[in-house]
Amino acid sequence: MNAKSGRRRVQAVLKRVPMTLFLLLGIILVFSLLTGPAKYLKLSNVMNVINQCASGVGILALGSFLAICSTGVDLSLGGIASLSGMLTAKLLSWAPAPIGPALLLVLAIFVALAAGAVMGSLNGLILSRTNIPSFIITLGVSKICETLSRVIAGGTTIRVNGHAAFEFIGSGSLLSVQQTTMKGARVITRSIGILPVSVLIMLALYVLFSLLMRRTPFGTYVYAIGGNYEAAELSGIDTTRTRFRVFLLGGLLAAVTGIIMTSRLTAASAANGLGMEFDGIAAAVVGGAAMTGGRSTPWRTFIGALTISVLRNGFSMIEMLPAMQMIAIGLVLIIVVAIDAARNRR
Amino acid sequence: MQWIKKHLATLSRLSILLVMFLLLVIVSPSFGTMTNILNVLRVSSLTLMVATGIALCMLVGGIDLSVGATIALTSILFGSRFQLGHGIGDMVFGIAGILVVSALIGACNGFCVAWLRIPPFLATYGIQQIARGLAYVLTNGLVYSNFTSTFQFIGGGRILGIHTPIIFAALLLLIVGLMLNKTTLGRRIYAVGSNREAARYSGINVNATLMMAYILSGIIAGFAGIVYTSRLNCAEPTIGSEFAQEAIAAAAIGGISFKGGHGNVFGVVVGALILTLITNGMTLLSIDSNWQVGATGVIIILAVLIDRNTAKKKH
Amino acid sequence: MSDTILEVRNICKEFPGVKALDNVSFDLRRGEVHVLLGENGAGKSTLMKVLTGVYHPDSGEIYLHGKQMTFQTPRDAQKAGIAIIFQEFNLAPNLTVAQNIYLGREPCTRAGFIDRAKLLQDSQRILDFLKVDIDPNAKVETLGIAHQQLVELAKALSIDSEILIMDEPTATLSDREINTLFDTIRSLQERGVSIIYISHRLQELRVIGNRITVLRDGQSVGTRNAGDVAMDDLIRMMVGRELKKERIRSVNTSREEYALEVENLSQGKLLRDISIYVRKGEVVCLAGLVGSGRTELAQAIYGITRRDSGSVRICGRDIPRPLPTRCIRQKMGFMSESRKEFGLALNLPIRTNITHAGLKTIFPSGIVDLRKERRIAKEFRDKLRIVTPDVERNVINLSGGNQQKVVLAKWLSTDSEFLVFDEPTRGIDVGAKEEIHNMIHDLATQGVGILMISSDLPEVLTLADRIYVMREGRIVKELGYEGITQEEVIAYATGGVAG
Repeated sequence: MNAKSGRRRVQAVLKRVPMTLFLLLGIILVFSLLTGPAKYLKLSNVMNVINQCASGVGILALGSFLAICSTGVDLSLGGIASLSGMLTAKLLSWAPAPIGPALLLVLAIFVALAAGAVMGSLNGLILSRTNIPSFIITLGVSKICETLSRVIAGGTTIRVNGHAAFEFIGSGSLLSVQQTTMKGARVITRSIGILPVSVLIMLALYVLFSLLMRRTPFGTYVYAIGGNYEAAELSGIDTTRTRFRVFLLGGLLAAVTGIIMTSRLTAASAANGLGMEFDGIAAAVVGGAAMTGGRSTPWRTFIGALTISVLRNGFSMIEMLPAMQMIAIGLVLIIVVAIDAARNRR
Repeated sequence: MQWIKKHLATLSRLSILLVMFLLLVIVSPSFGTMTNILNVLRVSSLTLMVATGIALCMLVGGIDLSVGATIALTSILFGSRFQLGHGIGDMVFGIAGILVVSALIGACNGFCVAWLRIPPFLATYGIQQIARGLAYVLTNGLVYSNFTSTFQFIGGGRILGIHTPIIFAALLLLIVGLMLNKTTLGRRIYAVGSNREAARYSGINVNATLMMAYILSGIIAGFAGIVYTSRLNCAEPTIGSEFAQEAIAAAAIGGISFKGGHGNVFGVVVGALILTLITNGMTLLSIDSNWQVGATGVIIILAVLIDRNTAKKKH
Repeated sequence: MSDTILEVRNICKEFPGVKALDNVSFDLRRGEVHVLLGENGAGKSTLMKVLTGVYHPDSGEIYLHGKQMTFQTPRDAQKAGIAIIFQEFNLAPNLTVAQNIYLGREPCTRAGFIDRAKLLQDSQRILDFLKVDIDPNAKVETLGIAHQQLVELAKALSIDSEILIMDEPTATLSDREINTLFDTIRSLQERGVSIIYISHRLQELRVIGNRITVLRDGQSVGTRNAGDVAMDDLIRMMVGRELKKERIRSVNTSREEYALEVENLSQGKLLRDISIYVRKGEVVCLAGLVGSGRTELAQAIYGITRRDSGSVRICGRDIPRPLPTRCIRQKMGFMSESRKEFGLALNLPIRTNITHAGLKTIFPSGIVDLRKERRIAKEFRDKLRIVTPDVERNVINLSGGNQQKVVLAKWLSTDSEFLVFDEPTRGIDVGAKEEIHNMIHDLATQGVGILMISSDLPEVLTLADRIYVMREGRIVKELGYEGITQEEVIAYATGGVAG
């Protein structure tokens, strides 16, 4: 009796483990065989992947997930990330600054988030009140963001120097380990952060959004809109407000990505975030989101985002040409969405 | 009276174009000269060509984001592989090869959209990545230039004082216009875009029609790539990145609906000209050229919002 | 039992081309089950949508407890205590049972989170009240259709409403579940809840209903007490004009050749071992209730869906792998039941809509001859009397009847010899209906084989040479036209008579 119910519980747990996780493990296995496990699975590379995820597709993918879950799509996320990152850099490199560095940092982050909120609201205002296809409006907003960041940049890369507090966001770590490696006769000691601040921010956001989607009416409404729009409307859900919030949150998440990106690179160029929105879509769909809406969860999206980061990192590890990487990512995007479409047809 | 009512949308677009033109003539007297008008036409002709192709995809209810990469890839292929010698025969052979390749890219788009049922913007974005990636791989960091003068004539020459791109664009419009209005393919394209299920019940092969629209868009982009390469007299993998959004903007101003089945080629002409006048006007007012990308973004959004066919609230 | 809780006075609602509700009045007393009876298209569902704020009436008043009300949105009606269980499922399949029951009204803790314990408890209490064994944590998509219907019911009950509207609640339930439902309805009555019960299953009405109001063609025909009304009276009220109606078709014009031969066609659970035939020049009707598989059969023949087994011959030729294109080549045409979804490209002109099905045959070269196209369009405009100033008009601007004629013109322009009409006169006005009937008759006389699907029994009886009655995916009876009555057809369709 007890053993039986125990086995059932194990089965239930196994059932809840998303298939994507096995896909991720499979990809890791392939790459570690291709590059040598010792080189691929060493701590610095593992942390590198996770850091890249946090400053890249990781947080932004949440925005993609939200939009897709409510049957839309948000192509402006990359543009917003780029604009917010650029605003942060521009404000922090304000010299001579009329206010102290701490205040300046707060101001920069505030302005970057506000820019994300404004652009997200622009998407939301239009898309929640009309039934224009979301890709076209968000594409337009993306171009506006791109232009603004180009104009702010003025054709150069904006560098942020000597802002320790700011750099801490993207490169700092709460806990580090010392690792010594032998390179020929020399002994090199490196410290590797194992609790990077950016990763903690990302995880915190995932916890927050997981709560938001599972425990609040808003989350239920987003799923309901994706599952059956008519039913949501007939149940008295304010679909306009819900869809507006989806795009507003997307803009904010993209802005956070932009800030972390600039902090990690200590510089911002107008091309930084371009194309990231498609990585976000790929991550969400790999995680199990259906383009028809209403599927997947934040944590599954997280696995999707990790998968994309692992792929990008792995392609570099096996020294694939950047151009070949473009081709490979394009193929991944098409294959993933094609599988999703085939799944929905049944 | 009936005629005016039916074509009210087109006429209003035309009047916007006229007003803009007159304004520019007043602001800058040199604008009205024949040279400048020809110049505006020449600049808009490439956007117009690409927009015509994208309009076909939009008419069947899709979109083609891959045109820029198609232009880059075909340009590179022509520079590196297809133009074997310097004779006219080699050039013709090369151009034919380009058109085949671009048709293949279009076919990939069509396959993804029609048979794999991938949302068009995602499918064509993925193909775009692949095509541009291939363009980079093929160049090995080289830039191809110094084509034969015969080839340079294609994009840079004049016939009877008119720039060749203008002539090509006019010919293309004529062909596509005839195709849409006077062939059963045109009927099928509108039918599929307007109501896909009704088209299926009427025995129209929906997938083949979708496929055809994307193949045509690919071929048109490939052809535009040849003209563009010839005019630049150089081929490199970065070119053409701005074409997709400009063409989408032109088609959107021209009244091609994103829901499919609505709009005509004449609208695209007006749309492309309005877009060119805006950018031209921005240059005249010496506005930073960076703003022009943003302008296309704003224009796309405004055009869609104004279009009554798409901007209706749910229910 | 006597105080009136809801009163509806003189409600009118018009849609383009059809008067859906014409001066409808009725009242609802506290604690009663008031049955609304009527054929498809009689206006029952429209009336319900007016009562729940989905549609806004053109004129007329709604009084709740003697106070006049206007409902702008479904939410307003909910707040006033009116809940509805729609016929189509209005559940989000990706959410759990409990989430669906309280969708839009989630119990929250003070921090703004959903109080999941309370949500589960409340849902469980409602499910217990319904005596159904459904896990409130199960996702709705994992449930069977009958259970989904019960979740709908639970959702309506959770609103704590005074008035509960049920639209065909028993359509998908088994006998045992129907009994549970009736028990539930009775206990609700005891709690003072009033129920508007929509159905066209005559047998059950007298079991559960207190009063019965019959609607026909958007008008209320009359209200009777369920206790003292004969079944025959109800049927007569429902179908009304049938007694005086003459048959349009006096002679059977059927010929030797077959237009359609179907043998042993099966498709999953929807269609089982169906064999039918239609001769050229013959009008054959498929009668049966909604969901009995009539449209599915037509779609399987036309190649919209795949059949599992069986053979189909159209105009004497086997169609092993059917597709619309192949069927059209064999001179088949299909007038679908929803012209907006499957029949017309609404934003295109009449002229091009008419040639859509015949692109290959009318313009074999692939070049469109505009003059020929216009000539064809004008020819059919005159022939079918499509009311429009010119054929360049977009189809969306036409009335329902004229739109239907455009679809018909599309199939006539391809010289079809076998035509399927799926509910050809649904949602169009009486005049256009008459015309379409005459056209079907004329076509048959000219030798076209016709298979007509219709829920409008008078229509079936005026036109059909033969009738197949379908029930639950099977052909249960083949009837000749002579001497049959609507009651007989209804009996076979509902299983009232052993088929």
